[in-house]
Amino acid sequence: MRITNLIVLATLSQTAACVWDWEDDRSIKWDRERAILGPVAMKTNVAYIDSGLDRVTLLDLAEDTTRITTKSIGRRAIHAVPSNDRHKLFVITRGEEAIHHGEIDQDPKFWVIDTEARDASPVAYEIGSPFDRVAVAPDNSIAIAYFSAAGPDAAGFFRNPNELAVIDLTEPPSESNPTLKTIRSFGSVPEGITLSPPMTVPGTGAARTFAFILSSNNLTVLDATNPDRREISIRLDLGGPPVVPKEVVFAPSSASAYVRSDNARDVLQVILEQAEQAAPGANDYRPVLAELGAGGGPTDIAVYDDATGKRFVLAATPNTKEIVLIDADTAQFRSVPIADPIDRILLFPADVDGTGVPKKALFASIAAKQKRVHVLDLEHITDPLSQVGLRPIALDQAVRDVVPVPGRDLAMLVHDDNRTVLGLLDMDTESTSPMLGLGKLDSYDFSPDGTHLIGATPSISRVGFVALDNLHPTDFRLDDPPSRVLSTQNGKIFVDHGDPLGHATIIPSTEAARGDATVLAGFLTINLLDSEP
Amino acid sequence: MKNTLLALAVLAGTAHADAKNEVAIGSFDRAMHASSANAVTADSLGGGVIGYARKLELGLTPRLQTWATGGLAIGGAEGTMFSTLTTELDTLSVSAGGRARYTVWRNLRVGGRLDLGMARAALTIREGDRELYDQGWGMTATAAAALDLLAIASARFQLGVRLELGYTLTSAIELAPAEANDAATIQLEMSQASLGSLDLGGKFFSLTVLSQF
Repeated sequence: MRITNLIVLATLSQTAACVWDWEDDRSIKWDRERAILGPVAMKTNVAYIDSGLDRVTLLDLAEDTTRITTKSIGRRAIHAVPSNDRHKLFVITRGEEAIHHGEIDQDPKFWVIDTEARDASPVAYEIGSPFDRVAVAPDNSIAIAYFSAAGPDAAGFFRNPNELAVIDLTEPPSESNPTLKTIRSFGSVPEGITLSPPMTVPGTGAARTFAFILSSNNLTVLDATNPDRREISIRLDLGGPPVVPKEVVFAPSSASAYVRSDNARDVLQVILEQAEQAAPGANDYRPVLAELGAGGGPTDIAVYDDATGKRFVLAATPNTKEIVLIDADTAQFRSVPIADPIDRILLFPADVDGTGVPKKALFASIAAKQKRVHVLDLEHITDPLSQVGLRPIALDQAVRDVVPVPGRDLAMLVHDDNRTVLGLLDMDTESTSPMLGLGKLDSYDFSPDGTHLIGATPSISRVGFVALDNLHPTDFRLDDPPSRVLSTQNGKIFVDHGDPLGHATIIPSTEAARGDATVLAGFLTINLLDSEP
Repeated sequence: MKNTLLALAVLAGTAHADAKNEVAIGSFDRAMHASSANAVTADSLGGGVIGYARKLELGLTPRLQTWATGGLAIGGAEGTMFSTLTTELDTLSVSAGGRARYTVWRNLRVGGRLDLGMARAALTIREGDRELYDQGWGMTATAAAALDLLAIASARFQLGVRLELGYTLTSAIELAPAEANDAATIQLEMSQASLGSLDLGGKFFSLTVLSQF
């Protein structure tokens, strides 16, 4: 046999081998775009949502050894929020359209992941549209998915920006849960939704949740417990600049809400009262509006109950250079002159559950970058014969942000845009202590008991601690630059290093030595090779 | 006892004039079918192979030869995951087994091979400037059918090409790629999560040049 014949035979054989089903059938899953949402601090877990692997990875820090679990969700996660108690994680998945081989048709879904129940499977609600925002009731009974002003993406043909999906989280998914609803619009789209705690409208029976939908020139009230009933729209515009509702504070015991709006003259009080002779299936309540006389376009409001249970609204009105304390029941008010354009109000003590009686209020001018803050005594301010105790506190530098320290009568003052200069204001002694940082405080948290401020910046491979008792600073050397720092409710410090494969340093406590800490790597791709496409 | 004598006879060789040794050098291409391998790369595993065989005088039929074989294969494949992670897979495998070969015509032989062996898989994942690496060993078993085309086919010396189609089974190799530690600094205790188990099995085709002498 000649050499040429051999070559011909070899070529033919190789061709035959290639024809012999040489395809690998690689799943399109491995070529998808991948984005990581998180880390999201849960109660003792830290959650990451993986839009490429369609799963939630939970790191349980409850015990000495970190336990990693993954839970499968739908295709292309686009938004995630924790519940108010941080037990549950809510995720919206965009779904997928089967265009290429390996893709599937999947509708948008709203997922509920119980992070405390390790073996519980995620529950999926069909929401029909690719909403990209979620509002959750404070008692986690109801969630509303809606579109942001920009919308999620350009996919699809029609998009209804005024559509909502009202999800009853106490009931399993069904044809009637969630309820899809389109609210009436007067040319604007929702810019935010705030859900009330359970409120009982006098004379109407059980407590229920109301949704306050904020859009330019409109406030829409929806009975979220009975989403089939019609919503009630409240026009806010006065013919001038658009009135944009920005903030809603609820008073559940009186079935009322206080709404602060940009370009509004006053604080709007919305009192929900029983509607007389309501038809079956119609709303059994009606909103009664009252303008609480702030009188000058409030830039921030705070609501509190005094020791007798009487409700007050504190509003800052830079236009009139005043702070206004309004009796929510009688609308009587007391004005306190103040020269600075106040746009931030904090109440102290700042109880986590909001049930405490505040004794002092702190006022700051963030936008105007003033070099002082003001403290107002609240204890006897409602007595018209009492002297108003408003005291300025001079600072060395302008205030760029003010953050209450949880569980403490302390406020953290941020003094520069780079967050390298901080101050801690003791609300008892009304004294400030400056703190200098070597790097920008890009990420910070407070320990759950409020004993420490924990900070990190990507340019420095350290975590900084400040003991808030004596302001003693310490730090913890890391092996890699941090991306974000979180404190879990069991006091552990979780430092995320921003690695798409998963890379975190877990410090057991603020007092822990380096030898106590561990580095966990690769958790975002755990068992990746074992997963079926 | 009979087996022992047979083995001794093979090792000692004989005074026979026929070719007793075989060396084969060539390449292979394995279509990895497992989802774990497909996760790492869309490519087939390709590389070089070198083998040695020694004829066993079992005295079956005149046209049927039996050989003890040993082989070494080096393979590699590259890929991407999620458009951002580049992967590099390198394998080294050693195997031993037996081959039967039947003479159809003077220049054409057909045969089959069964091998057992070990394979080392090394996986490198790169993301930007970062590089993660791990390696592990697993067992392999291979079965293949062969077609030998000989250009020179004398009793003492033969030269030709071998075309093989076969299938390789591999045990799962657990991998946990990690970054190399900076040895100059004291590092925190690290716990590396497993990436999972890599299965390199799949059907393969190989083309080798063989020489028997």
